[in-house]
Amino acid sequence: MVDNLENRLIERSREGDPAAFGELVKTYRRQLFSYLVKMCGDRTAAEDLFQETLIKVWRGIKNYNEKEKFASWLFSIAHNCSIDYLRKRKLRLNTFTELKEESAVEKDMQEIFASKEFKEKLEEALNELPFRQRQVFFLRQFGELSFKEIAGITKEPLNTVLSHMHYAVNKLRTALRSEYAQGK
Amino acid sequence: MPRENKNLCSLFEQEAWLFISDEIDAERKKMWLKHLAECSNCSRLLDSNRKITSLYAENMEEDLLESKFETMIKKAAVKITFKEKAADWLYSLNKDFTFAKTALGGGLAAAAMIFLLTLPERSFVNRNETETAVWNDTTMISTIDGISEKIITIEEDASSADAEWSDSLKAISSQIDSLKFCINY
Repeated sequence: MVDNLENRLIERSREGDPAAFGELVKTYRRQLFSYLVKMCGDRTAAEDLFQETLIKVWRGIKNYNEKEKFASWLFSIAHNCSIDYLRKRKLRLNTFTELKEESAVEKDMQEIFASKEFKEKLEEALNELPFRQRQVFFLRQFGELSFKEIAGITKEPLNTVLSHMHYAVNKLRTALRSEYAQGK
Repeated sequence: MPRENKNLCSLFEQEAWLFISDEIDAERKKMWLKHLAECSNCSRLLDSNRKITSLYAENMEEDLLESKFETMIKKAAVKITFKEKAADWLYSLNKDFTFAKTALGGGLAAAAMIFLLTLPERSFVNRNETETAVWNDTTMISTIDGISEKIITIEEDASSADAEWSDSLKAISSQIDSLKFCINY
């Protein structure tokens, strides 16, 4: 049913209906914006990229192929915008240190996550990841895309994408564990 | 832990995300469900992965102000001018085509131009082209064959002493021969 509504909005957007376009994109607003903020690390830049993405989606919607999931196409455009931005800024990635943990501490996870300080630490931890791991993590988190779709967007083999996700979550797990240990 | 189980656990670690996003076939899923029922480590890993990503998404999302979003939509959803369409097309062309492809295309186009410019000039005549001829104030429209026959007839009838008449006939006859040559008559 959601798909039918989305298809109708896409059709009306193609016909040039800005209201339908707004409704269409609104569904993905938070995820899309979150993705851009995390990718470029700057809220103001993310707003510019969000605008750029909207313009490209509006202009390109007539060429959108229904065989592809709309979210996948939308995030693909956003991803390319963020890549272009990062290339222009010539942002370099830090090296990644692999951490293996057996399990996370579940009991106080919610509480830990809610703390502002921890959120900052978490962002720091993720920023230490190599760019390719971060992009996979954020596409999965905010785009809610399948790993096959992510592999298509990032042009990497599926196993590589899975590996990136694995290392990214391990990083989070380590940060959580360290936070929990400090809390004790 | 038995070696066989260790290998499975190692494999599950690689496939855990496919399992979470339900991107594996039914048979493989069944196999992992069986393993998860028996292996507390993998089961804990799975739960941990799910919880961490779920909590991250809940707590780390960013959002735009509604008013800002509305403004952005208005800015984006405008009628696209022809100039913008052309710019977009050129941009996509530039992105889609590598330098090598562009150079190859350009080279082929240049070669085709040179070939066409150096071709000998030819007159192309339609075999069914009609010719208008005027003989003694009479306008005749005929095919080349027709004109040729007429010239032969007139030549036979005309006086040989009439040099001007003869020269005119010769000139026209020569033109007709040229036309015939051009169309490989």
